[in-house]
Amino acid sequence: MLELVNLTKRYGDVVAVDRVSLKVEQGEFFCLLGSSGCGKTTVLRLIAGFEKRTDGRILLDGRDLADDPPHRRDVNTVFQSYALFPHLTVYENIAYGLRVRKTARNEIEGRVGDALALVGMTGLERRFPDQLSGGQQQRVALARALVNRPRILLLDEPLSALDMKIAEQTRLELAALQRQVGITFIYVTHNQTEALALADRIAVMHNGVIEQCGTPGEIYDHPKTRFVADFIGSMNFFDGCVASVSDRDCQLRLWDRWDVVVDKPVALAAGNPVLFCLRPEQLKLSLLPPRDFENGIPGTLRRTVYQGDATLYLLELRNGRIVTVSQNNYLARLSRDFFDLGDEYQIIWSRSSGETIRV
Amino acid sequence: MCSRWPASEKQLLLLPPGLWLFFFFVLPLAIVIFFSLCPQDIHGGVLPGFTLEHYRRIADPLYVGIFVQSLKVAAITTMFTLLLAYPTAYCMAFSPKRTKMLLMFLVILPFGTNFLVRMYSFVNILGADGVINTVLLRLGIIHEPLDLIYNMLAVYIGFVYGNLPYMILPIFAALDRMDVSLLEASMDLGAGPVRTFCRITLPYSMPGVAAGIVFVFIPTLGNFVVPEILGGADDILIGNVISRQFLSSRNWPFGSALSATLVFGLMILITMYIRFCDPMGKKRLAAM
Ligand SMILES: Nc1ncnc2c1ncn2[C@@H]1O[C@H](COP(=O)(O)OP(=O)(O)OP(=O)(O)O)[C@@H](O)[C@H]1O
Ligand SMILES: [Mg+2]
Repeated sequence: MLELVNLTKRYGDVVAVDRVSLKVEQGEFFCLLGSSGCGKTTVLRLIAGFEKRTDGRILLDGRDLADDPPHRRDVNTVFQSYALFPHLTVYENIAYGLRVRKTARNEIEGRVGDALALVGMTGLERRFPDQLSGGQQQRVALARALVNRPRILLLDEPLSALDMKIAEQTRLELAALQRQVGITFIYVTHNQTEALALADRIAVMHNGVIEQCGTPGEIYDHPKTRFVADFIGSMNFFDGCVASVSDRDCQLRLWDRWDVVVDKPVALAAGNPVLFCLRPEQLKLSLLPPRDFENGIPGTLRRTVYQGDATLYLLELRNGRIVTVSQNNYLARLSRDFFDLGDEYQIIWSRSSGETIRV
Repeated sequence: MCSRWPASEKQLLLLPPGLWLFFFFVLPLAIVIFFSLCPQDIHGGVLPGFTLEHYRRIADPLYVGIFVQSLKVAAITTMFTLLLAYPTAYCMAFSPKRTKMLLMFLVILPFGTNFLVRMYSFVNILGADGVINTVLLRLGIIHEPLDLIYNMLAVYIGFVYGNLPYMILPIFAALDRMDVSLLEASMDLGAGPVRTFCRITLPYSMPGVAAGIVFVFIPTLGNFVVPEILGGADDILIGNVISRQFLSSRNWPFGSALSATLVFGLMILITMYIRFCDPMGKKRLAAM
């Protein structure tokens, strides 16, 4: 089990990683998700040993490895640029770690063969890295790391150099492969779709800080900060304050105008400001007023954006704010829902929907 | 990338260097070979006729010995230059960008002064009343000046000094291209610094080393200036012999025969070097 305790890395004045604490369980597929420059790579490099921590601890099974050099850590990395050795064949690239450890010759052969089979590259042993496609290089990099059977495999945006179709396919294979080998993966990406699809748990990073850590479902459905809510998927934000709280539900007043009911209490007293978040797919448009288990506020339809499977409706509230509503096109066609630009509709959502974030 | 060019355009691009090589290499070489086959005119120049006498004379143990000695000197020079140049190039390549530029500048700086002037300056450094001896005498470390000049030691110092940039630059160029993540990958896979150097850095820099060896070995083999200025009376290399044939001995055909032997010997040597040592074996590296 890997545990980071208040891990901090500064470059001069820049705090690249700021008191990061997290636990990664054995065999877990753990994603570090965040936008460019938020410090994801730095966290990986600290774990791998390429950077020296400024402060904090890195515990592998309770032992601090922060002062071990990279070659003494039972951790392997799949580099963003793959970093395959250009003067060695695919076979020699994969065998490198085993040869360094003085593994017996026939064992090397067996394990390299297995690793090649695992990533579906059997038959390409004699090729040099520059004779491979990007996807194949990625597989070799993966095999080169996996063949050592490390405790933890670190992957730095391994799919970002591949085009989308290949990346999607490789993503599925990667998930299956991780389950098969049972090695702990720490996977860095800025691609939320990738993180949601692959991870057992996700840590969302922003400016060197972990904003939230949880399962993909928790992160998507119950964001705890504005950054997480905004970064994952799309989100409508409403500024509001708590009007009243009971132990079963609460009332919020949005933009000092609209009162809505949320079927979930908040741990805040009346009068506190909050941020209320609703996903576009939780909203629907209607000409009818909300029913008693629903909330509704009026808005004027200003634009529609066709997306194939769904259509986005952009409505302007009376205070000038824009709210995005997403409607499944297939279901809309079945129920003959058509909306006209310039008309006013009720934006309806269930009282059980929406997240209240304290500000 | 080359395949994008139609054949005729490629040939066109090769024309200027081709012409250059023809007029300043092939033609002079042809003249040298022609001279080497003519009888000697004792006033300089050649007489009409045909003879192999000059080539026969080269087989004399005296000249064979000088050839061998020259090869040895060039080889030792190359080795010491390499030993000094590699760590320098390594430090340069892995320095921060600004330091890198500064070091590069320092390596190239000596080219601003004429080679002869630099060689003569060694007289002031190594001579009996030169900088080194003066300082050591003043400090009382020695009581008589050391013999630092007019011997092979001085010749080696001059050669290594003069050749250093030609070895540093190609090695630097090779190492500078190297992605640091290759080193990190090697460490990551369990190799310590020494093994990483031997298995990754060294092979990666081999094309640069190979180029450096050629750049240093060949000019050293033919050089006659350094032994002339810094060497003793007996420290004669093949370059000195050739230059003396043309200048003092007025034996152009024999000088030409020696030159032709040197040039063709070198060609054979280089071909063998590329064939058997396979310095460019990392073809794909050179292509990157
Ligand atoms: N060697 C360094 N010297 C100074 N600052 C650095 C160094 N490496 C990284 N940083 C800074 O640390 C911060 C985090 O960098 P990091 O590479 O970890 O980001 P990242 O999340 O991996 O981004 P990306 O998605 O673009 O790869 C950045 O602001 C970066 O400028
Ligand atoms: Mg990164």
